[in-house]
Amino acid sequence: MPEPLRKAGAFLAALCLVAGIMAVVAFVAALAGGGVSTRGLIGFVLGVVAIVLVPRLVAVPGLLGGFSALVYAFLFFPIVIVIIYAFNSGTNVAEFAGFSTKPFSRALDDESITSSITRSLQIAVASATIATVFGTAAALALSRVSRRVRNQFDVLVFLTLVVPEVVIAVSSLIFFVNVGFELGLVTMFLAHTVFNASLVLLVVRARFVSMGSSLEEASMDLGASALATFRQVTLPRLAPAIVAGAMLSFTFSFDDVVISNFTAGAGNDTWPLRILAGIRFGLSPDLNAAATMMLGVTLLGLGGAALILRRSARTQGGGGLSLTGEG
Amino acid sequence: MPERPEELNILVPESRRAEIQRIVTRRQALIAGGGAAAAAYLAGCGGSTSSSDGGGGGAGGGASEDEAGKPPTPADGTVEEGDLLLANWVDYSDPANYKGYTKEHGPKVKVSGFGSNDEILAKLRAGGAKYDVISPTGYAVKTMANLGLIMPLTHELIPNIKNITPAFTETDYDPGNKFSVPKDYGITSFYWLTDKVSEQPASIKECMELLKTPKFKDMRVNFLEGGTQVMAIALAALGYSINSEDQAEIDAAKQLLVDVKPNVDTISSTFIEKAQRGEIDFGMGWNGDIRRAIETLAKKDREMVFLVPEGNTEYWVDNWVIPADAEHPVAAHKWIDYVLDPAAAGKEMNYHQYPVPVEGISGVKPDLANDPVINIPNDKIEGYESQLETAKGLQQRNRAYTEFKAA
Amino acid sequence: MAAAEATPASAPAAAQPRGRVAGALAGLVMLAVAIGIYTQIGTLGLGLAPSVALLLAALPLFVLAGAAIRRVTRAAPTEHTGYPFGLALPSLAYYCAFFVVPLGFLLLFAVATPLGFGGVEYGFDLGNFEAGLDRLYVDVYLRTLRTAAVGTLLIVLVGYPLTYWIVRYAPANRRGLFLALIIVPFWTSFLIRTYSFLIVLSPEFFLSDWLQSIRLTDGPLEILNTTTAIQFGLVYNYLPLFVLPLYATLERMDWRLVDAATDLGASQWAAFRQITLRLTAPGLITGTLLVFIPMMGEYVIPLVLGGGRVDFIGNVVQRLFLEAQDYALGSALAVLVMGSLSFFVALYLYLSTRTEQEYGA
Repeated sequence: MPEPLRKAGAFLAALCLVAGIMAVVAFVAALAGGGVSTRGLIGFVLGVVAIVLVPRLVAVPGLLGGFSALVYAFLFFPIVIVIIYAFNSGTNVAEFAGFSTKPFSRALDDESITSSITRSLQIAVASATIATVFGTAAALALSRVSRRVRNQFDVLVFLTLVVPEVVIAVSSLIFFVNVGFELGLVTMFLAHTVFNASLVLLVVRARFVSMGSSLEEASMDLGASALATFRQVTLPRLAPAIVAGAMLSFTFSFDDVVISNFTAGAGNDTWPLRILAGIRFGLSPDLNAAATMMLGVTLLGLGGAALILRRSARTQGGGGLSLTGEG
Repeated sequence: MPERPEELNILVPESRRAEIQRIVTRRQALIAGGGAAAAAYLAGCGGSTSSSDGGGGGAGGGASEDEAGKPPTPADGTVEEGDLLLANWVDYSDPANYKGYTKEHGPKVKVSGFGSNDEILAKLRAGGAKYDVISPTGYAVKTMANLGLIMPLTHELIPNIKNITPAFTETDYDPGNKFSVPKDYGITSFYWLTDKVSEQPASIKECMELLKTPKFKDMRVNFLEGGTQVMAIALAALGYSINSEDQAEIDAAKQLLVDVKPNVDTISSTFIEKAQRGEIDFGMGWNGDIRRAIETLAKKDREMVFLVPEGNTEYWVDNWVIPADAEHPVAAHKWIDYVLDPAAAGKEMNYHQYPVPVEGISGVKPDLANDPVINIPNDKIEGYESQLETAKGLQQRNRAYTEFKAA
Repeated sequence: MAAAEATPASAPAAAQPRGRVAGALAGLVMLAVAIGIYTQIGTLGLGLAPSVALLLAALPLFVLAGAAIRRVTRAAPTEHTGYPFGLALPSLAYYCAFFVVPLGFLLLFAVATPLGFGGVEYGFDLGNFEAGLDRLYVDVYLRTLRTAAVGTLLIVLVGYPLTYWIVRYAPANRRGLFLALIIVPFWTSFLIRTYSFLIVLSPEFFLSDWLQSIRLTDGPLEILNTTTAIQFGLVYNYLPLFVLPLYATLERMDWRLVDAATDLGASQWAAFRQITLRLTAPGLITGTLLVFIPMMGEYVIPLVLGGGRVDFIGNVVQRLFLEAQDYALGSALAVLVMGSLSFFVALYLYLSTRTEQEYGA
C-alpha cells in the first residue's frame, strides 16, 4: 500500500478506535446515570466492534501514529481557528462575516495592544536571560556534585515546578507588597524567573549529564585551561539545551496569566492580561490578529534559531536540536 | 499659554473604536477588577486599617497619608502652563471635547487610561503619577477624600457647577460636591427579549421572582459577575439596603440567589456580544450597554427592553476629581468647568451613551435624549442607592457570592 | 561515587540523625530571620534598588548558614569536579529570596488576623483555618479534585500513546520537530487558545451543526459552560506538561529489553505492561503529578470555559485576594490546599530526585 494511503488509513483507524472507546464510555456513563437511549446502545455495540477489530487490522505502530496525528489535529485546531478568525471582517468573533485584513491594522494601531505586547516582551526577555544564566550555572555546578547536596537542591527546584501557580502568585503578591516593592514590570519579572530558572536548570543538566565528561577531561589533559575548555568544548555542545531552556522560559513568561494577574499592579498590563481584559467584552478579531502576528513572529524566530543551531551543530559534529540531550 | 506644540499623547485606544461597543470597557473592567482597596470609613469601622502598618496593600513608600493638596483660590485663576494630565476610563470621553478645551483654555490634554478604581487608587497612593484630573466611581471618591488623596474643589473656579442636576448635588459619597462633580451615571437592572418573555416585571423584586419560575429553566439567563454586583441586586430585590451589613439580610439575599441559580445559565461580564446577537433571553446589565444591544436588535426586528425599576436598585456615578498632588490644579478646574457646559456635556453623552446629569444639556441626539432607559426621571433616581464599600461588607458579600457560585 | 560516600558515612554515623534535626531547626531559624529582615525592609521605606541590593546582600548569610549546617550535620564534603559550587549560589539565593520567603509570608498571613483590604495583624490566629475548613470551601475543593482527577486521567490516556509513538516510532531525525510541534500551539496566547474553544464549542460554530446533522447530538451543542468544556480546556493546556517529562523518561529506556521479551515469546501487550510500564513508572508518575498538582490550583480555564457557573478552589482563592482582599483567609485556603496535596508533592519530589539521581550519577 502506498505510503500516504497507509497513513490515512492509520489515521482513520485511530479515529474509529477513539470514537469506539468514547461510545463505550458514554454508554456506561449513561447506564450509571440512568438515561440510556437506542442511540447510545448502537454506539456501544459499534464501539465494542471497533475496539476489538481495529487492533487486529492495524499494527500497533500505525495505530499509534494515527492516534498521534489525531492528537496533533486536536492541538492545532483551535490555533487554526484563531488564525482564520483573525481575518474576520466582522466585529463579532463567532460569526465569520467576511475576509479582511483590517483586524491586523487595527491591532497594530491599538496602543493598548502594542504596549502590552512590548511589556510582555521586555519581561520575557529579561526573565529568560537571567533564568538561563542562573539555571545554567547551577546545572553545571550541581551535576557533578555529591548526591546529598544535589538532592537537597533538587527538592527546591522541583518544588518551584510543582507548586500551583496560584500559590506562587499570591505568596509573591503578599511578599512584594509587604517588602515595599511597587507592583509592576519588575515584580512580574522577579516572579516569573523563579519557575524559569528551574526549567533551564533541568533541561541543561539533563543534556550536560548525558554528554559525559570524557571530552572535557581529554581537553584538560591536553593542557587547556578550565575556562578555555568550558568555552570551546562544553558550551557549544551544551548550546542546544541552553537555547531550549531559554525558549521554554521565554514562552512561559510571555504567556503567563496567573502570576502576572497578581503581581502586575496598576496599569501594567502584559499581553495575556490585555487579552483577559479584552475577553471581558468579548474576544475581538483584533486580539486574534495580534495573537496571529505574535505566533508568526515566534515561529520565524524559532525557525531562525533552529537553522542557526543546525548549521553550527553540523560544524561541531553534533546532532540536531533536542531538548533532553540527544545527539 | 504653552508655546511649544507638544504631542497629544493619548494612551487610550480611542483610535480603535468610534463604534459604540467599546464603551463598555469601564464598567466591565470595574467588575473584573474587583472592589476598591479602600480604607475603612472614619465613622464606621473605627481605627485605621490600611497603608502605613506593615500589612496594607500598597504599603511602603508613597504618599499615603498626605495632607490634601492646597486647592487654588479664585484669586489665582490663571491656567498653568503645561499639559493637562487626565486619567480616564478607556474610551470614555469625547476627543472633540479635549480639542475644544485646548482651544478655549490652552493646555493640551494628555490622556492616560485605567481599568479599575483599584488601579487608580493604587496609583494615587503610590504617588508620582501626578494626574491633574481623574474619573473614579462614587465609592472610590469617598475613599480618596478620606485618605486625602484628592483636593477639595474651589467652586468659584467652576461656574458651571450650577448646571448639575439637583439629585446629584447631595450624593451619599460626596454631599455638596465638595470633592467631585458627576461625570455620568448608570443603573444596574434587568433586560429581556420580549418575544421570549411576555411578562412585564416592574421591579427588581418581580424580576427575581420571575426567575424562580420553572419556565425560566429553558431561558438563557445571564447574571453579572462580581460579589458586590450580584449581592446588590439580591438585596434590592428583598427590599434591603444594598449596603446592608446585617448578616441575616445578607443570608436572605444569598438564599434568593441560590434559589434562582438553577435557572441561571451563565455568570459573566462577557455578555454584551451575546446579548446583541439575541442569545440572552433575560439578564442583568447596565443601561448604557443594554441600550446599544436594544438598538442592534431593533435592526433585526427583535425587541429587547431594559427595566428602569420601581423601588431600589444600584446606581453608580463616575466623577471628575482632582488629585491632591496635581500640578495644574487651575487647568483641572477649568476642564471640569468645560465639561459641565451643556454643549460639551451633550458631546460627552453622545460619545459614551450614558446619562450625564447636567441641566439643560444640549446637542444630545434625540433618540438618546428621549430614551427612557437613559433619561431616568429624578424621582426614580432618588429611590436608588449607590454602593459604598467596607471591609466587612466586602467579606460578607464575597462569602455569599462564593456560596452562590458553589451551589 | 560509592567509594566517596562510604568514608564519611562510617565515621559520624551516630551523629547523623541528630545532626539532621539540628540542621532542619537551623534552617527554620534562618527562614524566620530572613522573613523578619524582609518584613522590616518595607518599613525602612527604601526604594526598589536598595531593597533588592539588601535582599541579595543576604546571600552571604545563606552561604554561611549553609556551611554551618553542613558542618553540624557533618555531611560529606562536596565534590566539585570541574565546576565550583559557587556557581549554584545565585540560583540558591534567588530561590530563597523570591520563592521560599514568599511562601513563608503565605504561612505568616495564614495565621494572621484579617483587617480587611489586604491588611493583617500579625499573630497566631487559627481562625482563618477554621473558616477555610468550612463546608462551602470543602465542597468546592472536592469538586475541583474530581475534575482535576478526571482531567489528569484523560491527559495520561492521551499523552502516553503520543509520547510513546514519538519516542519509538517517529523518524529519529524528526523527533525534535514532533516535540516542538507540541509546544508550538503554546506560542499563541493561552487565553486566546482557550477562548477559541468557546468558538469551537459554541452552538453557532459548524461543529454543532455537523454533529446534529450526523445525528450524534439532539440539539445544538450544549457543552459550553459546563464541566465538560472545562475538561477539554484542561486537557488541552496541560498536555505538554505531561509529555515533556514523560518523553525524557521514555527516551532513556532501553528498547532492546522489549525486543528481547517479544523474541522470547511474550505478547506485545505483556512486554509493554511488564517491562516498559514498570521501568518508566517513575517518569509516568512524575508527569502525572506534575499535571495534577498544578491543575488543582487552576482558575483561568474554569473562568473562561465554565461560563462563570463553576468555581474551582483556585477561583475562590483568587477572588479572596483580588476582590474581597481578604489576604488572611486566602492564604489559609492556599495553605490548606497545599497541605492536602503535600503527600503528592512529597511523592513527586521523592521520585524526581531519585530519577535525577539515577541518570545523573
